Amino acid sequence: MEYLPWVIVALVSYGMLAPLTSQVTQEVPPAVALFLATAVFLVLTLGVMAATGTNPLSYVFLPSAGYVYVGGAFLAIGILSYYFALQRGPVSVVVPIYGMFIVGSSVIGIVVLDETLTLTRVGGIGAAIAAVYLSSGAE
Amino acid sequence: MMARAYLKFSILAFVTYSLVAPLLKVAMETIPSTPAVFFSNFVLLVVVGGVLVYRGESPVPYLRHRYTLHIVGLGVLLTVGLLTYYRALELGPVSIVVPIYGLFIVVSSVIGIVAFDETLTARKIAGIFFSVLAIVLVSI
Repeated sequence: MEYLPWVIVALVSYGMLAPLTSQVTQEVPPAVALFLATAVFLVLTLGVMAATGTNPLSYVFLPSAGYVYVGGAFLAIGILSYYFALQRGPVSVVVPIYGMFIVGSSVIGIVVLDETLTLTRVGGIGAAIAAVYLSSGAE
Repeated sequence: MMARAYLKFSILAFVTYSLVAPLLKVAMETIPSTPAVFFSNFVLLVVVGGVLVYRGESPVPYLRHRYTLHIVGLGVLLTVGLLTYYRALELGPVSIVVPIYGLFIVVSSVIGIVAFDETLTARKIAGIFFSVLAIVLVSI
């Protein structure tokens, strides 16, 4: 149960992000807000790595770092879209749709990374489709 | 139809962000989670920097703005949210950590409804319910 406090802090922090983004982007352009928030994130994470003795430079040129860079490009498109959505639409519709990335990642894991397709996962994919359908028409 | 642009952005966000975890997962067989998250967000900074140049937007006026502290707050929440999530994934089983984390959807939606007076309909509650159910079912 050692993981419990960590995941609770994670869910509360991540849960507060969307409403705060929604508020900030009423006056600050979404790309500007994301750029500055990411700069803060990078500085803080650099501090965490310094404190834990992790040298990121030793991983920069690893072949597997290529996956991280491609992932970063999709991250940019994904989060920028999320910020645009939060600027324009209700948090309680945007977030349930966006949150389906967890199911989307699972589907990619099944198709590309040969993870097993179980009956419960099929049910989860069905529930995700229902969630996007219901949320999309909720307002 | 312009009012519904946020739905297109929401779906684009969900589809493209879905690709991030599998790519990072492959990389994290050899790279620890913190540097991996650092580098992917560094790429994000560069890409979004390009978007700013393209759109002719400058971050400078927002360094002294009534929402500057809010933006710093976003960065702090992002850091705490992501790093604690990866720490929890290292310590505990995916089948429990991911569904608990998925409750961020409820946290965000409740704040939106309470703080921003967003409408509360049966259909919206059903959408939130099925989104959490979906995360539980694919993770257990």
